[in-house]
Amino acid sequence: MMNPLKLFLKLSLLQKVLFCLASFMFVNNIHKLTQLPIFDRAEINGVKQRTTIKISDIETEKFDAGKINIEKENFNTAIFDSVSLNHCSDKPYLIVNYHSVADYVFSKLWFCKMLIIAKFVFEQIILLLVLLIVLVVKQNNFFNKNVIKLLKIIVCLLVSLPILYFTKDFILLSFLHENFKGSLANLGLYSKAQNFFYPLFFALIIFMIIDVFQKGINLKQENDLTI
Amino acid sequence: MPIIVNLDVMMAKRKMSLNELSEKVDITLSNLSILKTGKAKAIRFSTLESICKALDCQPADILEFSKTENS
Repeated sequence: MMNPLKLFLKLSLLQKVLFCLASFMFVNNIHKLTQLPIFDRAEINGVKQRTTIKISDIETEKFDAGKINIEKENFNTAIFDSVSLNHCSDKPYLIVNYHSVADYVFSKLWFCKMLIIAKFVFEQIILLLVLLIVLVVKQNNFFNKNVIKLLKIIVCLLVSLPILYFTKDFILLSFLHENFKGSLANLGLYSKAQNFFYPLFFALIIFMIIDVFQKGINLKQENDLTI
Repeated sequence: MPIIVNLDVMMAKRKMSLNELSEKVDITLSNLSILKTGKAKAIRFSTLESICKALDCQPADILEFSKTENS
């Protein structure tokens, strides 16, 4: 029969990996999602394109190279200000006004991705430390100074988790509000209050446990040194 | 601690080794060593009694209170 602790750790790791991947993919594709309404209204070569035009489809279209150099620019790093059609010339062409965001905005998204990874790593370290404490306790070294060290590291990591959550949310939402005029504000991207509250709550409890452990160690030392 | 253990002085007076004392008092050598070096936090009356018996002395000969000692 499988050890319940090992099973719990494996399931927890799987859940965290899936959640991390989902968050990562969301941040990775957020700019693509937000481009779609603009292209929905676009007209190409005088024909109304009512269906959703994907960026990959646009990239394969042949446009007037003098007006927009689509083949050379990477659409993933551009925000579109306006799209209009020029009927005046013999060969109609699309005018797309855009500004590059590669240097500024996508550094924010890159930072968000790093924060998601950091959060994942921190959570895994906490799990590993809990496992280490269980192993130390199993060896009948319950009142051990190493346990206190491990618990202190867990407290530090737990306190840093809400900071990571808040920073990620702040950067992501500032990016969305700056570039998409709040169109994504109602997508529920804000972290839930529990994400901030639970780590701090557990940190407080562990902090009290550290105090109990410290007193236990002092008592054990006194008992050991009584001749 | 301001309590000084003068066990080594009494042992020297009685010309008794640590091994000999540990056999007479029935305390392990490591515990006796802790007591001798002053690392011990407390001493039981029963231990003190058996040490006094073995060394033929008073508790005051082994333990001493010093106001200046703060370590």
